[in-house]
Amino acid sequence: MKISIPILNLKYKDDLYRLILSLFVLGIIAIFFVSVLVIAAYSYPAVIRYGAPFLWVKTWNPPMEIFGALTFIAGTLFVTFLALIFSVPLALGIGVFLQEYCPFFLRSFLTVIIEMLAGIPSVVFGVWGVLTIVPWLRESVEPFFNAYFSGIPFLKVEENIGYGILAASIVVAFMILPIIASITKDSLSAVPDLAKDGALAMGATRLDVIKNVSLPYALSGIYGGIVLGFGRAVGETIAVVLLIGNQAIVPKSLFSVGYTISSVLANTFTFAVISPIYASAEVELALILLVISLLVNIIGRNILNSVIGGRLSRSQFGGG
Amino acid sequence: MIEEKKTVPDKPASKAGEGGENPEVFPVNRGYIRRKKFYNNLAICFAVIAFIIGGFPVFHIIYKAFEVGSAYLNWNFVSTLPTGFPIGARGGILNAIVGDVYLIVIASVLSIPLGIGSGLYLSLFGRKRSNYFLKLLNELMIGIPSVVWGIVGFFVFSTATGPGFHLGFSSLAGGLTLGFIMVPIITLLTEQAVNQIPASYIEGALAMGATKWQATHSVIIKAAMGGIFTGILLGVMNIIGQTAPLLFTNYYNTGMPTGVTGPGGAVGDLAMLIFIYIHEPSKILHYKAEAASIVLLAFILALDLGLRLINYLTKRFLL
Repeated sequence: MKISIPILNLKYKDDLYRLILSLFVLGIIAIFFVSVLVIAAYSYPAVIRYGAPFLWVKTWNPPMEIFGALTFIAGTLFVTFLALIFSVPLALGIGVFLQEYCPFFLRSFLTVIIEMLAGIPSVVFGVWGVLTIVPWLRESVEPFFNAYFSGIPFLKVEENIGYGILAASIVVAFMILPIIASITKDSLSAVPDLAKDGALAMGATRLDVIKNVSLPYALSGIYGGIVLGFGRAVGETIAVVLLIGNQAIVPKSLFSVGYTISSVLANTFTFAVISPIYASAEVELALILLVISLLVNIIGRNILNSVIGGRLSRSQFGGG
Repeated sequence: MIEEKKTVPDKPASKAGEGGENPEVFPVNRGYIRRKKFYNNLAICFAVIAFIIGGFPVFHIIYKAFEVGSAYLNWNFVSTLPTGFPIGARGGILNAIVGDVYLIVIASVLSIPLGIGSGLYLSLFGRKRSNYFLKLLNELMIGIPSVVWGIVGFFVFSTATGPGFHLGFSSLAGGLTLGFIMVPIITLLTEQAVNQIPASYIEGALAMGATKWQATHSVIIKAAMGGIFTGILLGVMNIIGQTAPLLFTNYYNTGMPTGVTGPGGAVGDLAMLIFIYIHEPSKILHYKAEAASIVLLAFILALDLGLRLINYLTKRFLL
């Protein structure tokens, strides 16, 4: 579209148009950098005062002004990786089903269901978790594990309350499922038909084609989807606040309660602003989230840009 | 020769291993084929089960919301303010619906011009290097967790001390913060929509002597209308469910707002109302939270249907 028009006054008008549009672009750049700057500036006192040990000190004691984020970082990583363990196999299955096995006339209809999952707001997921997942865990799953697996330290049920790491990560798994599934589906749809048809013509079954042709071709796209799902899970706030139990302890078992970075921010940030150093420590937590999300997104988007050309699937804009 | 081969396949399986004296050109290992088919069917089963587990929450969330909340769902529920003790035990959610309108309008006023303008810049004037940078910037903004946006919004708009706009906990602060979330969505989808227009449309307009501005308002906007509306609706769908940014910028109001800034400027919000109600130790408020989530889901479903209608009409009539 690089067509230059030789008539001077027309060119002048286009320059004005370009100037106005570039002001809008400057607005977006300003929003981004002001956001990063605000987080960096307000967390600066805590970063200076507590230094690197902030990341591995366990105590979080606002009155004594001792701040260490280990419990929250541990809770966040615990929930995130558990959610990924639950959702990655499911999402791969869904992506493969929608792209390879599903009959063509059903495909668009069934894709809509997964897109609807992406559109459900975080708080509705949280309410569903409180009213469905938590009673289920409390009344069926935890007594079962208590009876049969209580010897295994990682599966020990300390308090039979339903709330905790497991409840939060099940719900977060459902929230990141549509992202990974739709990116898997898009990556699989980018596999050239010729390669797949060639394998089928040689007598391969559908499974052989998926295993030996489609998945290796789409693998980097799927990695990108998992990375983006990780980014979404790390920042997930409201559903986690409602489900994780909100106790500042390092979780030792699948069923113990915990606290994540995002939920401690949601619960205590409005109280924290009274004391400058407390507020600064909380903003440093937000800085950790921001840095993780920026890194993860740079990696994930670069992978996806090279695989599916930066085409945006709808599930990436989920509510939340 | 050919006739012989067609009669053979009934019983060559035993001979398949012996090689040399097998009359078949391609020795067939039937057990192997059976195993292959079995694994393929197993994979189909796994994929279908994965899909059923993944789709289950969609239906169960709606079912649970209706099971618990439908008793409270009537016209009064959406047309009266919450009253009673604890607040909300009687009355409805009118404050939240009005508040959502406030927030959506304010967020749109910020984000629609900004998003469409930047999207047009990206696709009409962008160079390769700067486009890569700007698109990455927008994608990063989509990836920033909503609670971080809340903190940014607090320090930029709400705080009473330090630099900032000092708007207090108000709909203007909350709406502008939500606008920040909406901007990158509209930008990226506008850019995508303009890039999807057949190049001949734009080149035709330019060849007729139109400037890019004339081409924009006579050709591009019309042809990209569907995509741009998709972006706006997706943005509204996203912010209507946001709770975390509003925690620090516009907490909640059980009554009607008296302004858009300062004291009395806060508004109710559906997602916030659900969040607050489910936190209360009261069964009736839990049920009302589910009733309110039916309303929220209905909003989102309506937006979703609008989106699909726009997509259909665009494909049918414009491109």
